[in-house]
Amino acid sequence: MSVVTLTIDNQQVTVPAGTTVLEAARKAGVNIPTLCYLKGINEVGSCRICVVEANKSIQTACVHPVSEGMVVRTNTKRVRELRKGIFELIIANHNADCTICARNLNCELQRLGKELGVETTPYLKSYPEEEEIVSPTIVRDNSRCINCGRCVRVCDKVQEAGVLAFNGRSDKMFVSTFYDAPLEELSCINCGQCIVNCPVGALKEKDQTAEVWAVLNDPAKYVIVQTAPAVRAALGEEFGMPIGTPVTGKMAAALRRLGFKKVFDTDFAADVTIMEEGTELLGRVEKGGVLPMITSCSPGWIKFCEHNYPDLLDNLSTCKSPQNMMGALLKSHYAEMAGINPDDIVVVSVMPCTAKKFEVGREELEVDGRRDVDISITTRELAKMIKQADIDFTKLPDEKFDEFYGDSTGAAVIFGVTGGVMEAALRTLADILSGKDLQNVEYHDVRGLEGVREAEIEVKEGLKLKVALAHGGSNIKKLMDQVRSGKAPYHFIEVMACPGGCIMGGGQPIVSDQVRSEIDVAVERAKALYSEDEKAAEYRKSHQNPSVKRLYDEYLKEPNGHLSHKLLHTHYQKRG
Amino acid sequence: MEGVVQNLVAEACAKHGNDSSALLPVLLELQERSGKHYVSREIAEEVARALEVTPGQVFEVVTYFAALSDKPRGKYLIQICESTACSVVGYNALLDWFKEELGLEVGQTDADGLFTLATTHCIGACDVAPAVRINNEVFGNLTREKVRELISERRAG
Amino acid sequence: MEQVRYITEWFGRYDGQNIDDYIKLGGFETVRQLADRGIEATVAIIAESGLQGRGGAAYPTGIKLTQAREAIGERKFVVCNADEGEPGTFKDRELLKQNIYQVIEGMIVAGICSDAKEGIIYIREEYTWQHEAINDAIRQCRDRKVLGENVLGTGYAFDIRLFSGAGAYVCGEGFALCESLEGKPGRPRTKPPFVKQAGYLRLPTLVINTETLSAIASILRKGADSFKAYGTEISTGTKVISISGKVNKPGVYEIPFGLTISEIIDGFGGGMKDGSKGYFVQIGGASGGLLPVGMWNTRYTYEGLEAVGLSVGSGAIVVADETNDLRDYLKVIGEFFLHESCGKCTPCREGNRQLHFVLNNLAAGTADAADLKRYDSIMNVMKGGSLCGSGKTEVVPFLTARKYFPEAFRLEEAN
Repeated sequence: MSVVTLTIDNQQVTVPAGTTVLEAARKAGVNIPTLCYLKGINEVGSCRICVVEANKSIQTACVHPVSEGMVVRTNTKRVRELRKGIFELIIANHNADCTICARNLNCELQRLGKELGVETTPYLKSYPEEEEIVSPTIVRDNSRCINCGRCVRVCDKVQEAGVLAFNGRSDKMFVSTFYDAPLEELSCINCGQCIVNCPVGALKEKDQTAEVWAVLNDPAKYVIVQTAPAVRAALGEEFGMPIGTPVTGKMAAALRRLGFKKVFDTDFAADVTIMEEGTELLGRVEKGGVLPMITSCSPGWIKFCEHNYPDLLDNLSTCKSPQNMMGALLKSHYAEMAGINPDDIVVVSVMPCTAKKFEVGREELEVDGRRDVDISITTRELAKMIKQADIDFTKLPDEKFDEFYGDSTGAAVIFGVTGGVMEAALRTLADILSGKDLQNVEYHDVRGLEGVREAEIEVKEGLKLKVALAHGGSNIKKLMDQVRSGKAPYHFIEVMACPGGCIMGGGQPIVSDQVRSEIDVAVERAKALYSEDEKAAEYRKSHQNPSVKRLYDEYLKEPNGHLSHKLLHTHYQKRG
Repeated sequence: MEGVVQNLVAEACAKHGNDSSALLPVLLELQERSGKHYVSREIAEEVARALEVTPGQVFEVVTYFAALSDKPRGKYLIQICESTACSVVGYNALLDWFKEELGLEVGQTDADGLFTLATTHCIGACDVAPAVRINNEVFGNLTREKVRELISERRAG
Repeated sequence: MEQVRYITEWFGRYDGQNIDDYIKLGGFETVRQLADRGIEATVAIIAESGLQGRGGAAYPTGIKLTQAREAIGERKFVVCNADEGEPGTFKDRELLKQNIYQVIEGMIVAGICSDAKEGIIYIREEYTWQHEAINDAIRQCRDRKVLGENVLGTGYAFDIRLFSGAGAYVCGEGFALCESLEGKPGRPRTKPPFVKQAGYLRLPTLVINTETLSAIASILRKGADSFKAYGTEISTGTKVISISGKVNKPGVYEIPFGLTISEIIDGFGGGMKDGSKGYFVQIGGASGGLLPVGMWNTRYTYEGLEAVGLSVGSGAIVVADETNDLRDYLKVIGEFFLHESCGKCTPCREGNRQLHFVLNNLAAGTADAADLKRYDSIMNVMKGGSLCGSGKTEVVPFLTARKYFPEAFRLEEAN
């Protein structure tokens, strides 16, 4: 590989040819402010904040390639004045009522203003009237949008949902949708990646914390909470804890203090999912059912499939997602066990996900006319509630989930990372097929962050299971096009809508591009989950979960049985 | 009805080449054929399907380019040039004549859907400024009498 | 004053449509000569002539052709830029209408010289009325084997199609043009890579102005020296200009470089309209500079205009007289750019949004000192920070206005 040597602020740097000035500067430890830039996703040089002098001419560092002997100055008077001028223009067209913005204290524009030392703008306020455009999951507000284009690119290139676009031009250019239709009319998969990639507060989830507070304050309601695996890997970030700190115990403690009657773990249902999905897979393999079978835990993926691969809906596992399995069981088995009228039960789920808000409203998931889950909130919304209750999260003791529906295995907790569902399934399938309690439970072939992965796993002598995984819309399309062509040799495929899986879900704490340039967030959050798996020394396989065993023995009788089908399985709809 | 749209779009796509590079000419042609100078949502959806681009891309293009519209306009699109050369020689008078004759403000379409009054930027007719464009024809060196004629001719059909 | 008939030599010599008449005049001879002369010698003649790009950037055409040849790609394109979007410009309209074949001839030469087999005439939507005639001309070229697999028996392949813009000034910029050719909104990309390396479909694309192509054919026909006989040492040859506004004879004229603005207005424009008194001219389009009547002795050359902060630009000359108000005029320019900014980069999008407020106040006579400060700041950010040439050059009329027309920026006493 050819290299290039250049000078940045009098420091010599040698980098591969083709590197941008920004990347070279970061390598040299020189900070250049950015705003629209998102590595690998949005490299368009449109906000212009990253201007530098390269060989005395003004260039945008994020897109300008280095060249041999180039002299870069990042901090001249000319550069500083230009950045200030650009910032003043941006802020004039931004509804900067920061204190009542969802992104207060976690806003890249706010930080930038501080960094540039700009405290006023000479320009007239020119942004449109504040108007929240609300979908069942995502709320948009163009008064705060700075037209950086990150959401547009993520929606179009990373997720390939192609819903958000820059429509109109000049002062009439806004991020909007096809004929300004509501998101729910379009092929939006509710993944929320637009939110977590927005530098400001122009995009946020539909906030349902008030609804949760309302039921918590209603003495007639028996409010149960369940938390998805990935939440514990990231919630601490909202309270200043390092990325990758697992906070399972503190989270359980906080939920109890918020007033939930029972604090349960979606991980329990993840173990149930493995029982149901594993059985379904074996059935399809043995009886010649539709293969490859594809996981159905990710509601973003389900909607993606319904829109883009309506011809392949039969490949989807009929299993509900763990969130909904949990809800269905809580309102049936648990209600019976605890002697509570299911109509008094309110199930709140805390998810790393915005698509779950849509999923809970799907009518086809209802059992006896009852929704499995009543309210789904994101990791961020939970953090907000904890803050509203003035709970000092970092000082909380570690507590455990409540019994039975709080019991889980190491297999369940890794559901939150790409490859996790697959690995959990393999652990159980290998045991069932071999009839042994296998000691080697870690399947490193299916781990990692590669967008599309495949592996061949010998689950018993003579039976090799061919599996594949994809996460993130563009990767999913690559794999699914192969499935559609009939050339996919796989038995089982795991698909997660968000790149990285649920740990990087659209409901997770938002990490600025600046931090992301230093820390691989997905890697750190994944580590948190794998460490929880390793800590669960006693049970690391779903079928070993004693409470799950009891559930089947005493209630469901058998996976894929009659009651399972009523409570835990579903069907899908073509959306074209 | 759906079949009509499909055929219309298929025809335009076949004429201009069935790939995304044909998007602009296809949209211009379909807009022309709409009789209302616009690209309907239905047409846009079909174009997206036919050219294998996202509906979002079609709408981006429709809203980006000044010649394209996502909202219906009159059978006759009257565009008064308000650019530099026309402004120097007084396009305001011309605009007022059209406003008065049509009883429309800029941006309005009459009740019959016959005329839309709009302004535009330079149409390359500065030598006959102030100039007006009606659909694809350009008229310059206008007097009030000629404006009246231009309108009545079109009203008569 | 007599027009030069160099590029426009055959205007009026045939109906502009019948290819046989064009061939009778000697049309397409330069393509045949190219086969004998060779590409290098052909490009050398263009380089020797000193021809510079007539779209506004004034890049030496000889170098441009050489670079186009050097660009590597499995397909290459020549795009005739007939997007003529600079307000006050209508000379390409006439070059297309009166002598389309000469433009095509220039395209074929440019295509062969740059090893491109595909040509596209990118015409502005406002010229939709010309589409039929141009498509007809292309058809006649194909019938006469002037276009096709074996151009005039030379062994070279080259074909042309017509592509219409859809009303976007920015599409005159190379990248924005390419984006719109690809079926996307016309928003410029960042450089490098350049259009010549990775333009349309990310393939090498030579985007070249209609007049430049026309000139290429003329120069090859008549020799570099004949072109250099006109103009000055730096600004060789002739320029096809568009005169409009307050003159008696607005129109398209071919002139030698080197005349003064007054000479052009009087000699070609027929003098000020009805003998009115001149106030200012804008030269080169909406992004061109403003020159007060007191400076109309400035010579119309690249170097002469540059010395006073202006440029030739598209060749537009819009003339205003004393009854015109410069502040109204600035507002018109501001509205134009507010309408035409693609919206991609902050300086141009937000700068125009804010400039609009300032210009409204200025025209209404309500501007205050803060408005003028904003005016100046916006210019700095747009000039230094815009992504593409459109934003960077938009400041020229506003900066020259500030420099040469202090009276327009004098604040009312009340303010």
